[in-house]
Amino acid sequence: MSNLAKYLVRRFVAGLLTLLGVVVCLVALMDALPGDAARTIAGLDASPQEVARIRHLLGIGQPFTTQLWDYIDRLLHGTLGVSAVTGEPVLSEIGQRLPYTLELAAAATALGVLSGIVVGVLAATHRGRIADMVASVIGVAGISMPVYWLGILVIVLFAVKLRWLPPGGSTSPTSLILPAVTLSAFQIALVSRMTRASMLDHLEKDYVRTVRAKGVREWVTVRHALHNAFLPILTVISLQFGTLLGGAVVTETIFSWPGIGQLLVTSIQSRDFPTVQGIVLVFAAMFIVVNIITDLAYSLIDPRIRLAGR
Amino acid sequence: MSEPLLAIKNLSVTFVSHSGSIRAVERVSLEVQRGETLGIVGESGSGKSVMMLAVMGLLPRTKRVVTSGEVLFQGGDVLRASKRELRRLRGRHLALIPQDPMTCLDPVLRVGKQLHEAIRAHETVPRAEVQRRGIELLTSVGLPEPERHCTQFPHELSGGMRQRTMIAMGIAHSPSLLIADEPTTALDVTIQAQVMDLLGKAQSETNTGLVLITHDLGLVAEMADRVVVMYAGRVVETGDVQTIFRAPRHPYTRGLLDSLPQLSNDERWLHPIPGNPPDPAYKPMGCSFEPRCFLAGGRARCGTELPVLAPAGVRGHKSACHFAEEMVDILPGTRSADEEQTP
Amino acid sequence: MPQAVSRRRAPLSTAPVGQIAPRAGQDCNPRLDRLRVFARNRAAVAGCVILGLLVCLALFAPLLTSYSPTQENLSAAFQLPSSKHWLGTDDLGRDIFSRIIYGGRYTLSIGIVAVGIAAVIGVPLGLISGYLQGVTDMIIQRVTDVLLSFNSFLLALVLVAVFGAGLGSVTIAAGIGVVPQFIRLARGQALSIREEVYVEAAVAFGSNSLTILRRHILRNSVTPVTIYATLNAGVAILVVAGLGFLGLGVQPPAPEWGSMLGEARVYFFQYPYQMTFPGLVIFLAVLSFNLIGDGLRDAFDPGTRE
Repeated sequence: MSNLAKYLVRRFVAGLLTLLGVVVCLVALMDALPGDAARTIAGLDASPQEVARIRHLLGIGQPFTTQLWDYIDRLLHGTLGVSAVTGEPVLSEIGQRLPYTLELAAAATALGVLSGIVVGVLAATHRGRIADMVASVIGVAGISMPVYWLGILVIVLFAVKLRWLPPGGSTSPTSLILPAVTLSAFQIALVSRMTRASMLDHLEKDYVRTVRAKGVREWVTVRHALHNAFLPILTVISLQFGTLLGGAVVTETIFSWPGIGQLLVTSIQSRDFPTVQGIVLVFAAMFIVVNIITDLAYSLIDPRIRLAGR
Repeated sequence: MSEPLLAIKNLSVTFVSHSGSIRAVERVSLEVQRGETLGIVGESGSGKSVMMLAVMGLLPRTKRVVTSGEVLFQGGDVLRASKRELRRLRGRHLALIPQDPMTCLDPVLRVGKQLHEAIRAHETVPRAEVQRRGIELLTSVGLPEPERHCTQFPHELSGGMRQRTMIAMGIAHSPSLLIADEPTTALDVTIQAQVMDLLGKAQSETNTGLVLITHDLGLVAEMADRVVVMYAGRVVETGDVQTIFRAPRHPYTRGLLDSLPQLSNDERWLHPIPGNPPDPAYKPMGCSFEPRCFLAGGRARCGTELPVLAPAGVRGHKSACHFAEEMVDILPGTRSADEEQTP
Repeated sequence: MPQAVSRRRAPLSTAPVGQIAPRAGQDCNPRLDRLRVFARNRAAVAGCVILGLLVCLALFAPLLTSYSPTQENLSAAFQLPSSKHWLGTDDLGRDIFSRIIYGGRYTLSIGIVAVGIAAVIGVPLGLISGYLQGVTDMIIQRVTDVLLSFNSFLLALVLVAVFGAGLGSVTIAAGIGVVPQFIRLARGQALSIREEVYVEAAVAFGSNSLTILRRHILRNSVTPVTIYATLNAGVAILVVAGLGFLGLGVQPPAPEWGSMLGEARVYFFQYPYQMTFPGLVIFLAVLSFNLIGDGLRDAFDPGTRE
């Protein structure tokens, strides 16, 4: 088996173990639900049968290990349980909504990373000048800006006052724009800060001086530095994936974007725990996949890592 | 005398920060003729590397770096050249072989690509031709497997091979002036000899001016025609290599020569120059070497008045010492151990 | 004939090593020095000013407004900012200005307490993990890694989902959301400090682990932990306000900024003012913490660029 295959298998197994850990935690949390959760879900005027049904559904009252085993068993049969509210299988609901969230996340990441790198490189190559100061402002404002506020502001400005773009929903193709932009703000700020710092670091290094001494055009120098500086940027991007999903939850709520983030919020509000569990598990799986992809990307970018044998 | 290839006139470089200014290079003047090898000698911190960066126009152009003076090369002042002119010069007419080959190559790109970049920086050449020339250059610097070499990454090569690659990049366009910054420091002795042979060969073939920056006096003695000795950012002595080594007219040069270990003597102790070079942010008022100088003897003039570079001895020999004439009596090679001679 | 010069060595005492005098503008006390660097950073100072302003507004709320934050007056709903109601009124006729400054008490204090909780839990865990290494370290590491990938907001969200909303649970949830950061930081500190010579010396002298942890490692970690705490206070505030926005935080009628924003969202079309100010003030609070944290990091962390 090649190095690459061995590595992937290793990571896959580690990922499964992690997911297992997450499952354990989730079941434990469910078990810790205070009060009579089943009654709360069913509503105050529900019949005792209804309450009993929900109680059975959630597995409340049973010993922890039984609950855990049941959940894993269901998981291995390819189901995440059934929603306590709608009765529909959780997996199918998530499956319907997942593409929307992925679309939003992808758009926001693409926008955030590209803009962030551009801003960061400009700041690094024009250090001390206006571009740099503007970048600093964007940087610090972007990470301080609450996503929910930005979202509403953006709606008021572009959808209400200017009427350029739709305020929400997923009807027209342009309705992706506002939520993606809102979600990307944090990314832009973070990526640009990291890019600037990393570029400044590398622009001072000896090999950049050598490149300059060859008499090449300035952008070639920048390209060399960027290639080398990219690793920490990549790290930041992957670390921020969690924040991205967190932001997606809020953004989808504001813009009525039908992704799993919105589902998470509504399920929490209606205390639909199986759905919450299912979504959290899906999130965890997404993080693991992103991590693996990032690691692979590392070895593509820096040959020293590749050749060290993975 | 024909016009010098490179003429540095009163070059000063100061780095400014809130906590003080660092005068890395102070009013340095020197010349390099076509085809000659100039050795620039000095300890770390003497300003020799900074000076060469200034010559190449590689110092950052920010408010923090203040340069003054002139650096005349091919009729133009490098310090005041536009970015475009600098690009035209660098790599083509004026090349630098930097020190420390470990960090001088881009670690994420193959060596061949970097070499090709050097070639293509000044000529538009079709791909096949670039590759051919690259192999030719690598062969000329003595690398045994140039084709394989091109596909490797810098970390896969040894120090000597990297240094030779740097030389290949430096001579790619047969520049008129080649600056080699500590070309042998990171290498072991056998490789050193080979590398210096290469430089010498490259020089004689194309009548290139070579500036050798080093703290290795042995290297200077072998390769240089003329020598400039720097201390604390200033030139303290300059002259042709024979005179400097046989009859130095500055106590610092004397100290450097004395501190060389000699196999021939029976001496058991080394004789380093006592003390340390001054902190570049706080140079003493008078002669910078005074605190460590055996010649000064506490004389007031040394502590208060900055000596200027003035002719001493044979033509072309200059020394920046108030009491340069007294050096005549002190013959090189005589060591009086710790005996004191009272005047 | 030139004077014969004695060839004695220059006495070392006349050769100053390094500096001749302390640099101008530098103190013998490095801490004070760093504070000076901090003070020169205009952004950081601005952050201090903003934060100070917000804190004062929150503290002296009763003195600044005569309106109660929960006093409803439906006939005066949706009024634009005027001399009577400086920031206007909301959908229930409550004075927005008073809600905001009283709300500061909630948001700011929750943010700080949350960070405090996180530090108290996270730092010891991280220090122990880094110092002891081995299996303990590996377990704690793995768990922290997973928690870190879920970011603070999601963690807090899940916790609130289970334990319900309300002031206490939101604070704890926000705190736990930020704990992994502190664990990671403290672990790093322990790992690097335990390699220092003085720790080796302490071990050689027979100090036990607890003393070493406390005396050397903890003490030397104070600065980075403080910097991290400041930076994460902003995160905590965003988390708390975010939960409030979703209706999962501090419950109405408490004037917590996030829940104010959430309530205002419904009315953004008719009356945008209601949501402008809570959002603005959340932004300013987080911004000030970030500016201060950045300034502290630049001043106190070695490896700053000049």
